[in-house]
Amino acid sequence: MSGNSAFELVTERGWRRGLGNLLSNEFSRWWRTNMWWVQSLIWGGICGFMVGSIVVQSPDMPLSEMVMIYSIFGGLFPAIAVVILMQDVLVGEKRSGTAAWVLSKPVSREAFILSRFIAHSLGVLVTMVFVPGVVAFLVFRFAAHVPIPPERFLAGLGVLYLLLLYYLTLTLMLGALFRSGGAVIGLALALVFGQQYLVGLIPLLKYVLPWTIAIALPPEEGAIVPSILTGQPPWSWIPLLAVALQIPIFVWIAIARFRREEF
Amino acid sequence: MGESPPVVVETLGLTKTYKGVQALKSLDLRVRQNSIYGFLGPNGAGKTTTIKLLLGLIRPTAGAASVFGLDSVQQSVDIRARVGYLPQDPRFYEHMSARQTLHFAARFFFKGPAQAISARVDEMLELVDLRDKADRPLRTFSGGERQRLGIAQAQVNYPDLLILDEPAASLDPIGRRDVLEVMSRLRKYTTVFYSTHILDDVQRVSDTVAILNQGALVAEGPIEELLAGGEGAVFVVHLRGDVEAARTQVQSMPWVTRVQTGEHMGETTWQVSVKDPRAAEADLLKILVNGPVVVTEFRRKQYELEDIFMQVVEGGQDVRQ
Repeated sequence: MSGNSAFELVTERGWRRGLGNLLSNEFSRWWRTNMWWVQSLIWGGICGFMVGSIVVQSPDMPLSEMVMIYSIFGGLFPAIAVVILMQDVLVGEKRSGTAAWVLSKPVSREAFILSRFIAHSLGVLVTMVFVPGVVAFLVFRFAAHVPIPPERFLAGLGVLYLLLLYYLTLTLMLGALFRSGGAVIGLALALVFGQQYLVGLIPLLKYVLPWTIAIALPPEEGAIVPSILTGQPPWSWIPLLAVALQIPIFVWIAIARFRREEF
Repeated sequence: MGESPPVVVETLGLTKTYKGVQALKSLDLRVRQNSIYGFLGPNGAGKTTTIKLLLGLIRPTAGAASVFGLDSVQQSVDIRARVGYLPQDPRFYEHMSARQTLHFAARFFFKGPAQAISARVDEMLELVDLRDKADRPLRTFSGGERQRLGIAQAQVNYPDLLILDEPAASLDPIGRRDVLEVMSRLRKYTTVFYSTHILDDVQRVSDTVAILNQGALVAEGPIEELLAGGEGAVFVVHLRGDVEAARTQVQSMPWVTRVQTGEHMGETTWQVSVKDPRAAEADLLKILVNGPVVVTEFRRKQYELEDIFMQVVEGGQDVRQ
């Protein structure tokens, strides 16, 4: 129709078609609602409270133990939150019919998945890694008087972020594979909690699964994040490489499955 | 005769099977530009499946569909860039308002300018009478209000093809009338392909109709032709006198295929089926008035769409033009 001559038409092609609009919509869910500050408050509060209580109650605790506790509260608990947050992202839209509506517009299926991945990755980075990380850093530096160099702390936060991205993309992939929210959250949480048993059964899995990033298994080996924070060499860099490799694979599987989805 | 308008939608042997059940059986359709194409059928006939196949939301098991000459599987994004679509049960983001939803929908087509997009959104809100509710979250909307918003978002991009799946469902009579008016108005600019089970609406606004039953196309054609009857034409005659002699004479005409007889208030009524309506119009009445009968009524039978629909859906007839 001639009526659209007054407009500047969208010209993106291929996988980028619709990405900008979808991203803007997903970002607005994080940043134009109370979600960002509620999440920041929760995770900043948990980390600040836990590290602060240790400093107050056990001022003589060795640094390695302090950072181990921080690693658990900064890595394991947000991982569970990420799974809960992400479990409905695709399944909910498939069930409610909003995915079908959005995909009836000129939007690529890749853009649909990538918009969810990018927006939630940024939301998690800021509210579950950066804000609680800054709070923990300040508590370590000014309350515990433990001088962890900022660059080392940032490296530790980067590894924690990698861990959360692993669960984020895993849950996204499960959401593309299944139509039931129960299956998505069940499988994702089963991996969060069950991998320590899997590693016990098949020790080689500790190189592939992310468990030892935040938690030591066995305890004498030390986990990767605490090692980085204390300036010690981690027991192995391989789990980080394996996790970093699995993240794009999970995204790729989610996109491949979503391309074949019928609405 | 002028040239036929170009074909906008074409399907060839389009088939869709879900877990061994054929939802659509080798559908062949051609929708021409600027037509209002009514797509009829009982529930589960395959109307929504066809629409989803055209939009690339599902893939065909066999056959092919094209819209604007673009393949519905390989080029579905390009097709959707020129289409406006109202789903059967429109679902939007509940936290958004009607205005935000229309802005969101418009941004898939237009980058700017922001002022023009806002003006278009306002125009659409006005069109569907939602201006006073434009900034309320959608979770407070009734079914009819959602349907109206659905109609607005389908038109926000000035589509070349408007696909409406049951547009009048869940609307009150005034809402229904408004939708039909909008569709009639849009005919000048766009092609409208819509599914419905409200036969009266189809008869009022459509120029072409297709009837789908159990996944198969059982009738298709310009609405006047369908309403004139699928197998040639039928003339209704009321008469008195020596009807048997007249009947023998009429039945001997080469263009008469059948004469059905009945009684009505002391008169004999015939339904004369003919294969050449022009010959019948010219000669049938002449034969009768020159014979031993008095003709009290003579007319060509006009079908209602409901008659055709019931014939083809319940009787299993195929009346494709």
